[in-house]
Amino acid sequence: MYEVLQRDALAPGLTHLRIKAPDVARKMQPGQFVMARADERGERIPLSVADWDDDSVSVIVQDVGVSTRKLGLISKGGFILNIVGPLGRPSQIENFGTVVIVSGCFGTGPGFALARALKQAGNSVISIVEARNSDWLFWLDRLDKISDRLIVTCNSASSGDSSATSPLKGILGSEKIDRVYAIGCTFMMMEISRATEPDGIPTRVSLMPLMVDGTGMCGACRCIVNGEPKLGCVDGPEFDGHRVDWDSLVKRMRSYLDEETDALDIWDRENWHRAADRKAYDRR
Amino acid sequence: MSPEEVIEEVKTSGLRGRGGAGFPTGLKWEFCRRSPGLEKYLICNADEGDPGAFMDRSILEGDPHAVIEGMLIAARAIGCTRGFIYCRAEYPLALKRLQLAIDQAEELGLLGDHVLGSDMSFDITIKEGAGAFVCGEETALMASIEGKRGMPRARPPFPANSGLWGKPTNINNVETLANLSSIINNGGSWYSAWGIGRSRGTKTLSLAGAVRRTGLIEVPLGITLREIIYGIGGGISGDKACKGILTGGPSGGCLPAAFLDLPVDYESLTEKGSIMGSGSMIVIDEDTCVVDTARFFLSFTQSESCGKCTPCRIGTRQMLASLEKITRGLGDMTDLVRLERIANVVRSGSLCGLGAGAPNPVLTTIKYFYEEYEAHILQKRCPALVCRELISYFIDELKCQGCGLCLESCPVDAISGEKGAVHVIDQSACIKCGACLEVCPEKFSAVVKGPVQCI
Amino acid sequence: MHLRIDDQEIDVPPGTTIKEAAKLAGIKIPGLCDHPELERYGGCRLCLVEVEGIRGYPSSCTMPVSEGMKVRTNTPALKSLRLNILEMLLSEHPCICLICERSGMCDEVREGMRKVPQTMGCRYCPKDGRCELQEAVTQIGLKKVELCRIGTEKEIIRSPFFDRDPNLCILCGRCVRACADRGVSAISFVFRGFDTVIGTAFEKPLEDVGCRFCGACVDVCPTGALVERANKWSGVAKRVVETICPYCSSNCQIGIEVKDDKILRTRPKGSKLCVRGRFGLEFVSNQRLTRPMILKGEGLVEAGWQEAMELVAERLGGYKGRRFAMLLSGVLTNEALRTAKKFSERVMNSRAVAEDTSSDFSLTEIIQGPLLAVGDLAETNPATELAIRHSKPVVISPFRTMLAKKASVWLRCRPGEEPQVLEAIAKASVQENTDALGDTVISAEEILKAAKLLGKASVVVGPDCNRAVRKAAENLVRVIGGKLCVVGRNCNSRGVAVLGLDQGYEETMQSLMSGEIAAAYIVGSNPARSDPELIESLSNLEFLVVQDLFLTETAKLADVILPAASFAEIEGTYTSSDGRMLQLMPALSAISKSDMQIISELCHKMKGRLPDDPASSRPEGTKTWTGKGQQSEDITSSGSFILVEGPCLFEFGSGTRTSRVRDLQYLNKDRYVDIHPRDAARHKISNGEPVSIQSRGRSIRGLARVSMSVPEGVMRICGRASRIASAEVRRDV
Repeated sequence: MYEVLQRDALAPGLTHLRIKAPDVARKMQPGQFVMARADERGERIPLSVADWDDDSVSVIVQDVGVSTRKLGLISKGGFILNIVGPLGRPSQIENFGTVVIVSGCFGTGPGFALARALKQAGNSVISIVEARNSDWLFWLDRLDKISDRLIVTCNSASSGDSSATSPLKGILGSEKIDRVYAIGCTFMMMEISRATEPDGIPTRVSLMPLMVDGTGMCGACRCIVNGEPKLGCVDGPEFDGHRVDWDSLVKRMRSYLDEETDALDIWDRENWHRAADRKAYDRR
Repeated sequence: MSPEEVIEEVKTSGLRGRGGAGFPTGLKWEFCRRSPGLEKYLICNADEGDPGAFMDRSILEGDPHAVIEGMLIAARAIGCTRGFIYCRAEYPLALKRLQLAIDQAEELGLLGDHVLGSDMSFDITIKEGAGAFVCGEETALMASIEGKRGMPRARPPFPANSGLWGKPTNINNVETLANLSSIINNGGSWYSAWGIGRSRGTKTLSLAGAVRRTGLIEVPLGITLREIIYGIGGGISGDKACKGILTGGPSGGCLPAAFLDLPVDYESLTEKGSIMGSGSMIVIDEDTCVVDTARFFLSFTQSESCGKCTPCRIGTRQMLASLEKITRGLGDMTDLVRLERIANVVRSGSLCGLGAGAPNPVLTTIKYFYEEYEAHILQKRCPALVCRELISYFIDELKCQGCGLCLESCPVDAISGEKGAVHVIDQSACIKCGACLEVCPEKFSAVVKGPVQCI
Repeated sequence: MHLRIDDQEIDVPPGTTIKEAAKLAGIKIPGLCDHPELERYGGCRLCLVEVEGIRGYPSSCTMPVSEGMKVRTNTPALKSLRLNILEMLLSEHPCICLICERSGMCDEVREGMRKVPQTMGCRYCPKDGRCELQEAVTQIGLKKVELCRIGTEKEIIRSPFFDRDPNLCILCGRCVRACADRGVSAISFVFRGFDTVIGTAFEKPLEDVGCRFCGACVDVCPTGALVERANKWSGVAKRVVETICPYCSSNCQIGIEVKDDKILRTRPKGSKLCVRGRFGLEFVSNQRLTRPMILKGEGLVEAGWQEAMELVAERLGGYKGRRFAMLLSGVLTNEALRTAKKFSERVMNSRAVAEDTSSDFSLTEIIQGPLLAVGDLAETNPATELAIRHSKPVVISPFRTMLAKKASVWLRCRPGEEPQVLEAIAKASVQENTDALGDTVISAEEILKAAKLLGKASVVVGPDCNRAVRKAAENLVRVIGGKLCVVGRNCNSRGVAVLGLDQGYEETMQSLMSGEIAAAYIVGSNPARSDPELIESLSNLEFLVVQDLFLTETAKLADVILPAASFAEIEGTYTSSDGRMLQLMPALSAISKSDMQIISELCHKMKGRLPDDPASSRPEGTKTWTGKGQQSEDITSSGSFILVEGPCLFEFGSGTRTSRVRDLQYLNKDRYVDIHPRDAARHKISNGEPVSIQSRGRSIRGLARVSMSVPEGVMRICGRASRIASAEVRRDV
């Protein structure tokens, strides 16, 4: 049982949880993740780690299904049943020069950890944070402190495209960028990779395929990278964005869409009133 | 006089609704009289919501009897059995005096089951408003009296046919009613002797702003703006140039000085894009920024919007957002194009007069003062030196004698300097309040307000 | 009236709006706030038209036509206005899918429909494909939304049965008007101008402001702002089956949307549904029995049909005659009832009874004339109450019910006094003066006033009224020359009455309690739950067969349990109170055999002798059965309060089906005790506090609900049987 030391409702559907797990925190590095299970009937799900200290890890949970919704409901002082980590290959941290980190939605959390580490390694860090609208922005002050430049972009109503692409293209056009990182929803990472491909700028993306065990046994997280099968949990989760077969990744992620929707439907029908007891989010 | 004769007399007088709409009063009464039904209501609209307007207030507080008398005349003409005075709660003295006047009238037999011993019965109840500008609109007012949310409704059906609780109802403004006693006493033709065109009689206006003499005035309709500003008002104080005049309050428009010879009557003002409204006249000089004024009026109407119809609810908010961008020096020409586009939609598409009138300040200022908008947008400059983000205060080092008065007066300690030495304003800390300019002795005049140095 | 719309000349009746007239001419003017069943509003401003001679752009949904009117619906100015106004609506409503070039073709790149916490666009919205805003965008042809969103993200409001997403709300006001139309007004516009939202008083949960969850608001919402929670994401159903609601005798027509052999949701079909018919059909797939069960050594075990039926046939065969009784109810179809009657009379030489009855009356006819109503119809038969309410009846009720609020005369008697009030009215209508009318707490003048309004009136008696009330109503009806309308509790109460199955119920119950009955066959009834006093007698039966949808409390006492198909799985008929045959259509494939099938098979199996006269004689017994309905005790003696147990909307009948609807259980989780403010103050009880009631030797715990709906000195709680007793109350610490 792992105690939740802190819980902040950051935005509708976005919750920050700081969980007491000293063994996990001890060896945590940027780019890694944990597998968490809310309760006995819950599913194991991967969560990228946003921050950590000596005895706790921080995760940003986005409510997209039953498991994440359950996690989002746990209050301070509550408990998570299981947490396993650190899992996955840590990001390669060295002085590349000037790096751009694009993050959106829940990705802003791990994006922060990455930006901090890269900054400490001597890089010049440009952070781009994108969100659907300003209500969904968070941790901007932290990012501002450790970035040389912080660009915040919100979607306008006029298109469904990822809004981070155009500021990124602007930067690429005017300065020399040595590396680009993209962490967030799959569509955004794909767009960013496509934007950096013509100039061949090394781009790293943090994939989130479906995972079950997270330690390399089950094969659920298989992605195709550079034409070869790779496991997201032990070969990744960070990969070369230009080599990822996005098509097959998205198809695999949609495999259980119907079941996930049904499960959420059933759970919500029984537990909606628990959600109603909570204030959706604290205005910061 | 028979009721029909009363109505004829009022028609002859040419009296039109003094609350702003300007509908011929006699005709309005006739519609209500003709409506079938024995139970009819009369409402006096004493909500006077225009910010700064106090014409009705002076009547309610100074001569409430005139209002009651007017209501009795109207009730007799139309056949109303019950009367309501909807008076805004922000006028506690008016409410108190109205009630006193009603009580006195009842004692004298002027109100009650047998008015002056006749078979006419009429009583008046006061209903207090609750702080909503939109409740000055007649259907919203009626909803408020019925205890419902103050939201206007579509017309038809018109109140004359189906108003309060579905019964025929006639609503008149305080000033309209207050005129009736003189009209009946002296005759309709006496009243219509004043005026011009279809606007007959007199109107009370509140003259305010940059003129030497401000206050409430009652003038014959048809008087020109020049006569009001320079004749009655004594001209612009400080002998500055007149930039224009805002008529009709937040639903009105801003007319430039070029129109000083325009007669003040319903048709002329509407033709130029403004309205008579309740009669507020604010004179502006070169130190008034029309863009900021438009923003100020729009922020009022936007906050008072009831929220029922889409154009007013969302459109005025979008307009305000664009205007705020422009007055902060963050606007570009697309903002101006959008502003005008939305303003026209709000004007044409809104359900009631609040929405229809809210874009008037914006549209008239864009039409008559386009260069000022261009200055704010293209040059990031406020010609009148009003918009805070576009001005700065600085101290002319050649004139400053180091008296230290400005340093003491600065609320954010943005001024530094030794006694006797030139003082300096820290631009990043300055909040543009203007206190330093006020205290700097005239013989030095060292503090200067100018356009902002750099954006 | 004759008018011209665009290029067409048409004639319409006076009072028609321009929009309606255009529709008759085949011209569809866009609009989102207008709804044929609701008051005119004119708020969305999409339906503006140009009328010759009228300044500006009037809204066609509010403007009535006039003779010789000339209307233009599609000028360039109007088109531009509509595009702009729609753009304003979409600036505050997630619209990326509506204007995206890839709209509808994004399956390959979307990770998932629900992989986002909030609705961002159509593809993420539960109303995708059935949203009127989508239709409006298509019709008006909006392609770009240039305005930026200014409003903030608001939290979704969760309630039983449905959710409200204020971010999708376009403030058309339809839900507010629909709720006002039902006389509830639980929701309204809150705040003003741009910050307007639709909500409850002080942001209280819906269940605390009187919402009855009828779903009228959900039905009229044009966007995804109000959506049912059940099967939210399952989209549109291909198949809609029209059938009859299985609950009360209002017999509302419902349309059941079916997908993959599951009930998706229910819609009203020209009817005003209540929470049961609209949201309460979940029981059809909740805890259903699928196989027969037989009581063997270890307890009830599943068995095959063959085994079960043979056992029943064999055992029941030994109880033919007076030692057997068949207990039915008004939830069964006519076909099942007829077969059961045949079985019990011809095969078992005995009787079948049901505790259900209904008079023969036509609701549409009686509301044309004067009405007197007794009983809390809003809780028992909501749709019937809605129809009666608008006729402004005279109402006899101790409580401020929905009917009482709209009554022309409300006679607020004390609980249990209803028969006396009816008698007094009968007297007053004959004697025309106030002599000897003052027995009750109602003044003689009020009684006379009511009597004057009730010449040849229909007297409506709710199913929660007891025999004494019914008898007094019968007398009254005779005196005033009116019509007695006993409203049935169940969907087929009239069917029960027509077949004469309501006769002899009391005697049968007496026989049961005296022990004379040794074997029983209970179909569609759960007496162990509704009358716990019968549990002992039921347990003492030598052989008990229970046929039902679930493993009910009564079934647990049985020797053999036979699972039946629900109303949604069978064909059949109910009889309405005016004698029409209402057709049930099956929506789902049957989980089991129908009641009729089972009893029919049993008939064949047993093929008993068919006597000429069915046996029936009054049994002797010591225990007396006073029957359900208000059991009045001597309430003048002890106890500072009268406690009334009455019917509740969220629990129907014995509560067997409604307890298997999750959100109805949620609404019933707290037992509310209605108490008058002055009584509450005297006992220092505040709203929402736990209280304990002592009555009839038992202790009831609940939450206090301070309300003016009860008179002083009276407390009211929900109960399955309508009971009146004396009681004490105190705070539960």
